[in-house]
Amino acid sequence: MERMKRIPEPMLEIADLSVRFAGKQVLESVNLDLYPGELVMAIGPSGSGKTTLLRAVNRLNEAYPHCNTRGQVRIRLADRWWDIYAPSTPLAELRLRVGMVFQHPNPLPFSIYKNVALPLRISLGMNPKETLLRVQRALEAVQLWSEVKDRLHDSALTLSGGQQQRLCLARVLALEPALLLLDEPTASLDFKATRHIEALFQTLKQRYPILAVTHNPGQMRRLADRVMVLQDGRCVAAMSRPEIEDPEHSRRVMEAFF
Amino acid sequence: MDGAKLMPHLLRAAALACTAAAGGILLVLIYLVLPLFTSGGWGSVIAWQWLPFQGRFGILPMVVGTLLIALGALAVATPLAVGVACFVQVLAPGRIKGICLALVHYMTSIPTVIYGFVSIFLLVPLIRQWFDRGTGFSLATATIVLSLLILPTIVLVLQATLRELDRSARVTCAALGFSRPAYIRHVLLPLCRRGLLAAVVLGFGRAVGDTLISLMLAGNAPMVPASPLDATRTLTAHIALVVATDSQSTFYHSVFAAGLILFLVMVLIQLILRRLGGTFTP
Repeated sequence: MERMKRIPEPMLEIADLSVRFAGKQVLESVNLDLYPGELVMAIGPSGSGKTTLLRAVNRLNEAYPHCNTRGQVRIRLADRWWDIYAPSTPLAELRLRVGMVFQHPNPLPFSIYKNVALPLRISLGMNPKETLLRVQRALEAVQLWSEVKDRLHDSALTLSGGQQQRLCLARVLALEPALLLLDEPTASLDFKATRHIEALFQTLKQRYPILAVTHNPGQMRRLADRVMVLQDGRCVAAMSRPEIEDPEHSRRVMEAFF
Repeated sequence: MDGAKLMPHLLRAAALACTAAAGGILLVLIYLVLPLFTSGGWGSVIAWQWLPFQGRFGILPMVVGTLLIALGALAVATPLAVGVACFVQVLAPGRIKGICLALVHYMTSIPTVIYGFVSIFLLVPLIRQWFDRGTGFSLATATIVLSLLILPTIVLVLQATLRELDRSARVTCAALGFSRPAYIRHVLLPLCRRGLLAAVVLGFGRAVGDTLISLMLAGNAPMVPASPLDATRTLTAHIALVVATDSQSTFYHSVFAAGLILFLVMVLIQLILRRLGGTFTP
């Protein structure tokens, strides 16, 4: 069964990826394939290059100065392969298709509605009617609609941390991305909000391939289908689902590298 | 511990001193203007003609001149400043950003007399030639140069706001696929309204308060200009001219009225802008 699932082509291919910031090596020769329907997690201590790995996929590393990326990252959109770093690849469009949720909830200081609607209107050029429908659907998908439907025009900053993070997830889902990048999305949330969001990811991975990073072994055990362990920018170990579920094995791996 | 106890007192004293200074200025102005009220000269000051040798001391043309020049300069400088600040913060590559900011900082340090002096030899003849009307010393000339003077003030205050906003929103918006122009238009500009307002208020203060540029370039005719190419006189230039030439006349007091009006105009405009800012709050 495991084999059958792997037969489809991957959605994302990372080959020999190296990233440097101002001459300092942050990622070195990382390889990864991401298949439809799976959640792959990169785990590692702080400074191991996890976030840089995610940001290499939507070229967000370039928003920071002195970044140098080598290697290949390819994404399959509508049965066509795109080289993410090819000069001809439209950057804004690429980022629309690769949704990213950040470590800290980052709603813009607009209303709840506008946070989800603005990218739809600006980046996709949707009319107000379509936008309203799409916003509602996205907020329903993250189970936020019933909580905010009567105060859509309140500031997004009035929401709790967990709600803000679900709003940010809704903002990404509304754009109907091809895959999701999750950068420790529960790191700043309390226990209850964390479990709520984790349950969402369990359902979302049926629809979107997810590449996530975490430094939390518990979260890894709960969510990951596959794991890559990063240390000092290198992939030093990998685990499949049976290995993750084997407490003895995963403990040995974690102890070796943490 | 002592330092910590002393600090609130020191800060309170500083705040009181500032407020007292502003209040003191207002009181002194009112005291100096008082003879105009008692002698009934107020009516001749709030009038449209300045003919001192015929006993007419109207300063309303100067009020209009001040407002026209200051608002004109603001109208020219604000869009320019928004463009410069957005370019510097979002669009300019690192090195060009540095050069632009250095240039703007440098502009703040140019004495106004230099602007006036250079303009007399550069801009005034050009205006005279291009429009072939008047002497070139005009409302338009002073407005253009004054807008240059207040530009760096507006740019620097606005850019400080943009820098903070940009720090929190740039990566988020990039990840959402916003192009940089869309990011400026739909995210930065709507969010920087308050910073822009503060910048405009400061710029307006500088524009109304400036003396030398209007004195050197506006032509100083004490009349309401009928066209941008006509000469006009501002309250500040008027005060400077009268104080420099006449300190005997009893209607020397009209200068104090000009000062008081200047003061009140500033307060009024600040209040209006603040009210506007209040209604913009989301």
